[in-house]
Amino acid sequence: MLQGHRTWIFENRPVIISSGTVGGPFEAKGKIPNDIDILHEDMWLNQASFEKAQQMMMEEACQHAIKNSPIQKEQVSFFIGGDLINQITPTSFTAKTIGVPYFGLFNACATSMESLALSAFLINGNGANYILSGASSHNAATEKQFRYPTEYGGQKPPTAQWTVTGAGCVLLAKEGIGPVVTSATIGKVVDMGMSDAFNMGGAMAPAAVDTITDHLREREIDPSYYDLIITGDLGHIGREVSLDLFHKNGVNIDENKYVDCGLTIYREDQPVLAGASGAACSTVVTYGHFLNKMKKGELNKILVVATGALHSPLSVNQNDPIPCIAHAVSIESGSDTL
Amino acid sequence: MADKKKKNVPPSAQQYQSFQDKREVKRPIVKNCIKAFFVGGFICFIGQLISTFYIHFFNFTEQTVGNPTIATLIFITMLLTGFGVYDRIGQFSGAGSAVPVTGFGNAVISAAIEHRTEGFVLGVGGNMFKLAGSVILFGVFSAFVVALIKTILIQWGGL
Amino acid sequence: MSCFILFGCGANSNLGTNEEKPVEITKISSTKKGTNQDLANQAKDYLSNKQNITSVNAVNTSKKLVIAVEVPHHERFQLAKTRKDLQDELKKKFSKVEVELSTDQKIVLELKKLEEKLQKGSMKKKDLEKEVDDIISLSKEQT
Repeated sequence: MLQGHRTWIFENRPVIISSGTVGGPFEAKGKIPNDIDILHEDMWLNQASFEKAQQMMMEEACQHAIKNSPIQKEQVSFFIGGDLINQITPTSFTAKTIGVPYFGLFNACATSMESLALSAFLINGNGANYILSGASSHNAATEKQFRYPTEYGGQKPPTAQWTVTGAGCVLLAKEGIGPVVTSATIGKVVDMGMSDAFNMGGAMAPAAVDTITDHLREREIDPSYYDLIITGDLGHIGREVSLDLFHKNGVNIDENKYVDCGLTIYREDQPVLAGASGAACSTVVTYGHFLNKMKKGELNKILVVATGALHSPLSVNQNDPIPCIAHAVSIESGSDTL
Repeated sequence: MADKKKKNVPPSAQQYQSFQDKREVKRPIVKNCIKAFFVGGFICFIGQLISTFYIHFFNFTEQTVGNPTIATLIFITMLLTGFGVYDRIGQFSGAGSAVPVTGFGNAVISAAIEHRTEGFVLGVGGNMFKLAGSVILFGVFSAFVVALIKTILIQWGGL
Repeated sequence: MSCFILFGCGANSNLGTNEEKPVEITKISSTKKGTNQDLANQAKDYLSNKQNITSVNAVNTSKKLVIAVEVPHHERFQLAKTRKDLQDELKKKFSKVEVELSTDQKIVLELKKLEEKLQKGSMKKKDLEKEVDDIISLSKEQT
């Protein structure tokens, strides 16, 4: 189980038996629309508010995952998830709709991998048979929560990132067909005193580096063990900074095998500045794009490192720095043995 | 300001911050200034057109034409904000579209639209001046201070 | 109403030509009694000989004289001072009547219209007095 200081090895190999991803109109115009199961052309999803729209997306993602699995909703033991809105109401309301026991999590954009790690841990320890694990975010709702009104004409700096509108979830099971979750490293909160809420990538990079470095050390493997190391939402700046940090620390990471979800979801000509962010960013890209690639056999072993900035508008206004976290989860093809 | 902040953080963080600084893409200040100059100038040009229109076709003088001109500009801003155009102009031009009265209108209107889902009283009413409230407060306050200084100078300074 | 940023354009390069250009004035010859424009014509003559004035429009009744002047664009920074100086000067010169001087675009337009009407010779004394009063009250309107 526990290996080293903060890495879990899942020797019972929990399986991702199905997944569901939902995206908004902006994602539909992006680079990977074919990997997203349900795409909406309306930001509102015919709901009265953006928050309700986000809840709707989360519900759809869960329903899609259940529908594509051999099991019924009643067999799901737990729903574990979170989002970025105050008191994570969209996720909690989703839990009400699907009516299964629920853990609500908040780790900002790292929620996706936090929930996957916990789900895998529960299943690995015989704590559950089937767990739904997911996260969601909505561009307009998040902007409202963290920044200015959506239509406000403020100029964002080139370091700013675009919150993904979407939701994603996976159904994790004890046994079945699909990619398996093999290990997870839980992140520490890293605070480098960065206080610019428009430069998340730069603030989160040290957290990602810290988690990846420890993950590799505690599992006693080389970065080349993985076909891809996928970071959550570092964006252009965070990716470059983290690569520099790896080189400085002597960790030999191949630049071509180090990708970022925030740079995968949108095309370069979309006005997203430094890249995408949000809880749905790592969720949708990993559970959609990269799991599909694993199913096709293009990838065998990936390490997903979701990064999160744990600030609130209040803490930023009170001049507190932005503490960051990163959780790493490794997913490997089912046919492989550990 | 930045230096003051840096004193409170451990050396490793300081080191990282200066390291990160080099990688960070900076705002293109000169380019932004030029864009702001032209977009701001263009908005003022439209304002001038509107006031000339009012002077020629309505009973307004140069003294009184300001109010209807501003009202018209804010009305146009309202439409642009509602149709989701103004934030794109804002991203392009920065201060150019934020400093003229249209920027103020946008700050009020965008907040009103944003909080519509929370109802009229607590949502729209309570949040409408979320961004513009401080503009009003400090605008009125600085006008008060300037008036005070002027009064003192004229009354006792013999200017 | 300083909601707009003012960008002062530098001094004109063709400043000389501006000053040399003769000021456009239309003198109104009204034969009718009561709409006599002698005072207005005098004021126009007087002002058009001054430097830094590009146009003068003026209309008078027996008791009131209303004048609108325009200055070159780059001189508008001293507009308030110019206006005050000219007003004082003209008040002295035409002390018998009430003098109202304006630099407002609207007043220029209104006076032009009134001059045209006078030129046609179709104006009655009463109408003229009313129009002049209207223009004066308009020029005094504040926000």
